[in-house]
Amino acid sequence: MTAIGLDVANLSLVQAADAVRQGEVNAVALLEACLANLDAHEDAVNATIWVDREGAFAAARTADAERAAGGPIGSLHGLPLAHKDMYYQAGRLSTCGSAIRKDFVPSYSATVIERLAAAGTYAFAGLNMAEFAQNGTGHNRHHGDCRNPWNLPYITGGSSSGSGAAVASRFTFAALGSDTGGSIRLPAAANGVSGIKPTQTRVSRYGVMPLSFSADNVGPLARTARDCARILSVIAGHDPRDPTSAEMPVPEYEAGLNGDLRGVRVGVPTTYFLDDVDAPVQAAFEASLAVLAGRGATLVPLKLPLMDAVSTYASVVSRVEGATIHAEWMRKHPHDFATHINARMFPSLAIPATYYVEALSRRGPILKAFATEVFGQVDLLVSPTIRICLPTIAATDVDNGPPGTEQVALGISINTRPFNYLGLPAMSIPCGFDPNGLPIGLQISGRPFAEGAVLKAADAYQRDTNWHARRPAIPAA
Amino acid sequence: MMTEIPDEAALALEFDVFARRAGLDIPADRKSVVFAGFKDLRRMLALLRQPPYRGG
Repeated sequence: MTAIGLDVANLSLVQAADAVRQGEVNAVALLEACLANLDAHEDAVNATIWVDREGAFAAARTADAERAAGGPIGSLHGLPLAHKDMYYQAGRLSTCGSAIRKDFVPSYSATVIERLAAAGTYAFAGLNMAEFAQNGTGHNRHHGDCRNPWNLPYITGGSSSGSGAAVASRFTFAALGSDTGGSIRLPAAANGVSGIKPTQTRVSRYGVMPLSFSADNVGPLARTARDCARILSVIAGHDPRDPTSAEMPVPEYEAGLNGDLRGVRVGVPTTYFLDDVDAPVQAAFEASLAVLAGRGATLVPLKLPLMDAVSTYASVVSRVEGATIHAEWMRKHPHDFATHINARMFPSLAIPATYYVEALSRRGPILKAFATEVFGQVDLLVSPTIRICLPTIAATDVDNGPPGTEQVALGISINTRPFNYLGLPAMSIPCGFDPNGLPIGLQISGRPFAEGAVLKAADAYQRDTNWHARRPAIPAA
Repeated sequence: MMTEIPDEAALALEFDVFARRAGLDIPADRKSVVFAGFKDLRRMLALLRQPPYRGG
């Protein structure tokens, strides 16, 4: 059953879930629409690592039977989702984008997967990603590079490359990604979708492949801020199996999305985030400020403290922790890793312990300074998610490119990385397109546990713009 | 000192010493790339001392 007039494939997650609840569409129809798009465009985009069609149809039919039985259903009932292939699902492959784990089948499921299932969703595919979440461009030597559905030679951003591309391509209504230095926000920006990195500890990381235990975050990519709000309400909250997860109460994030930004002070950085920004990105960013002001926000120019130190400390922390996790595999199986990962992780073992301890111990005082000097004056901080127009896959291929390619690739995450070190919530939403037809992202960040304020501003922006509603016309591979 | 960047020869020696002490057997076909990564890392770490941090 599909309601006449419903373009099922183009529904947002919230629209689709509400349509299921109201009986306008069934779960099987939603899945068929997703798979039709996947079959038509996956060869071009390369967003998936595995797809379980049989399991998906069984889950969809079960969801329809439950709906027909008339009992209570969850807020995401019947929605087919797909996730970055590092979320453990008991009995299912979880490659982590790697060769090392090409046959890894965990015996337990991630808490967030279980929570999404309790809300009525099911996962039907594992999505492409940077190997062990280790780059911000989306390159993957083992599974092939994910390609940008808006312009195929260009990067999707990473490391949640498949998550961004699959949502934009309408293969799925939403996807979980992970973010240690920008890996939700970068693919959100690059693919023209919405993605949020919550506050450090907001969402359980149990059953999720680790990269940096001080900086890893779990969060969704979807087509709208409202979609992200609904998912976050489902997955956030304390988990006894992840002792680092915060015991802060979880609000109903959707309830706060009223479009009204009167009284909201939005900080516009005068330093760091706009340094050497490309002209089309600058133009899109400035136009975004006008939209926020039109919704009642007060714009406040801000000079930011200590940003260069923050960026470097962020790298020290994530590199030491990532190298520690992978050290044994790197020693025993160096050729099973892409060359650029060897180049990044081997040297990270040389970072002195005192530098690592310094980076961790100054996190608190730096966050305090940021809270006083930034969030003492404003409620939110905005910036471009990526300073430059997206580069091509070839131009950022560190393994095969000329010297200096690594610096281009690393520059992608210069605006996102600080929020991982600071542990603050930060979101990217689409705010325009560059001359190559590629999306530009607006990053919105807030105080600790202020996801509601971040989502509210993003949703308000999306009420007056339609960047998030656009859909790529994907050519053949 | 980590804030000073030695010349290429000294860096190469430093890299070899680091690899031995860390028990790393870096494949020959990856050595130049890993060494390049090592040099980038040293440049990055030097930034930690510029500017000085005066926070509490």
